[in-house]
Amino acid sequence: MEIEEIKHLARLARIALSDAEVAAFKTDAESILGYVAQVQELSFGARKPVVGAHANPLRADEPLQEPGTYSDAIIGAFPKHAGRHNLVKKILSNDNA
Amino acid sequence: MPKETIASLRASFLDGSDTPSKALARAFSVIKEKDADVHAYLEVYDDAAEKARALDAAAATHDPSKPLLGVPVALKNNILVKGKKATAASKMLENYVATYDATVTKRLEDAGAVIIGATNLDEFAMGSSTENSAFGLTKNPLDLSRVPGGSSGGSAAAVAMGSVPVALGTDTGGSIRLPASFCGLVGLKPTYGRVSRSGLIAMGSSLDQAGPFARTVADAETIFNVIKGVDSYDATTYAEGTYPEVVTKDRYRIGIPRAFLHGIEPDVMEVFNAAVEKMRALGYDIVDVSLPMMEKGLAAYYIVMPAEVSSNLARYDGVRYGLHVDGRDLLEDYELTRAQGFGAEVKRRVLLGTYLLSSGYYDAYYGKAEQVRVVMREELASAFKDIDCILTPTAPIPAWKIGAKSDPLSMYLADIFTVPANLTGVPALSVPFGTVNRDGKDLPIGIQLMAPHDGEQRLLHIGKQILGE
Repeated sequence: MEIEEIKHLARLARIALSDAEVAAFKTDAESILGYVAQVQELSFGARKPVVGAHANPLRADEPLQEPGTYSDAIIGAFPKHAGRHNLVKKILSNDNA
Repeated sequence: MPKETIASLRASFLDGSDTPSKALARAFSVIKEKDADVHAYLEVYDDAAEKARALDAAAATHDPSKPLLGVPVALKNNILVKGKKATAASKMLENYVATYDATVTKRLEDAGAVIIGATNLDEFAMGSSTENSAFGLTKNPLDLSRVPGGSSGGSAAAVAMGSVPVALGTDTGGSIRLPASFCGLVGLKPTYGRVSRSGLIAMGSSLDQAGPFARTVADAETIFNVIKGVDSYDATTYAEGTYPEVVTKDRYRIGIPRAFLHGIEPDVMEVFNAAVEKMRALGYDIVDVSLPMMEKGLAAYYIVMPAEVSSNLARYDGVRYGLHVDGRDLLEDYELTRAQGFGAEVKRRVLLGTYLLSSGYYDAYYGKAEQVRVVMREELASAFKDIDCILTPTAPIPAWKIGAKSDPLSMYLADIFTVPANLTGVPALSVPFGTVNRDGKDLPIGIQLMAPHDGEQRLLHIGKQILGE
């Protein structure tokens, strides 16, 4: 695994990593991937097992409690809020300079 | 050291010789005496005293709907208790206060339990030793130089040191059974979907289940019966009759996957063989069973689990709750929050999962691992046509010295016998059987039983026969 590849993964995972953490991950990941790669040698032949036949049941999309039951508690957990709004940084900008 | 059980506490409440308040006071005094060394608890709830007092009168009466009336219980701190901190032993959630009760919390309280505190764990339940907590490790009460196992090490230690008769943990790849084995307790990982996951801090959503630690199989059964059942907040919970009935019998036919039992320390194997002899003495048939895909279980687990971890932990971004670290822009807010909020093992698994799910690797790793799960299930279903239960050691080793497993892979290997139950969804029970000696100390060893889906009653029945309950 290359250092640049690890830095790219960290960007995908939204985790800022120090150079020391990148180096440590390289060692650990190579050891772990070396072990788990044994699944790649498996051949299931003509009878390919079907994955997910009974996975991901979902309940009906209906509210299970009165609207507003948890609102105050959830707003109270926002890192920053203005009234009942969650404050986050702008992700769009108008200045194209 | 009080070695109380739910049964003994309830009996003494009923005959008036004891009360929930007195039982709680004893629990608090054990914590005061021992927890500075053990560190089983992240928080002890002051308001438990008031709750216990309110139950003092009622606890002297019998109410079949409240089998835990007045009984003190501890919960792993990845299980939500409304109004209390749910930290998952992470800096990310250090100050997070749960806005609702987990279904298991509510069911315990509805059954009369007094929840006395939150127990330590590996951060976000990622680890096999409870050394990965952001708030300091937990020690094994039976030998303070050793780990209690993980990730539910705090719950195991809370029971083993005598503060509570029972505690709840969660088990994604062995996180109840391994600490039960290391601390000499009974630990049950229920069938996937038997116990609601609503209000558990998610790690691997296709693998996670909550379950009990107890000193007796009967107590584990009492807790299981309280927390199990369909829940409208968890669509993976299943109704009675979903699986074919798994009957209890007078004598069982036990399968041992001998070809799979390697890498086990010799005296652990001797204890295991003694357990097999005990089963023969009970009149059980013992046969060899072939489950070749089990060999690949650990590799599949360390693909599926980090993949699910990387998805589940994407929610910790500093926007809605938990830690927020301010950066120059929103992207940097995310990156800095996650850099400071997550510990080393959590980062490792999130990054690995990100890698394993990325385009170009997905089929080679995740796709294959999911196929391994399907074949493992088929092998088990086929084996269970001939046998009633599968027996293995819970772990190849007893509790190790704190710090002895510093490279991640060597710790992962401790999960070799426990991950198949999570990958396939079947229930599994660890019961203490015998000890091995290390440095002059007798360390407990657990044996593990696996039954077909929804076969908890069979596991509990066999567990009781083995322990002579």
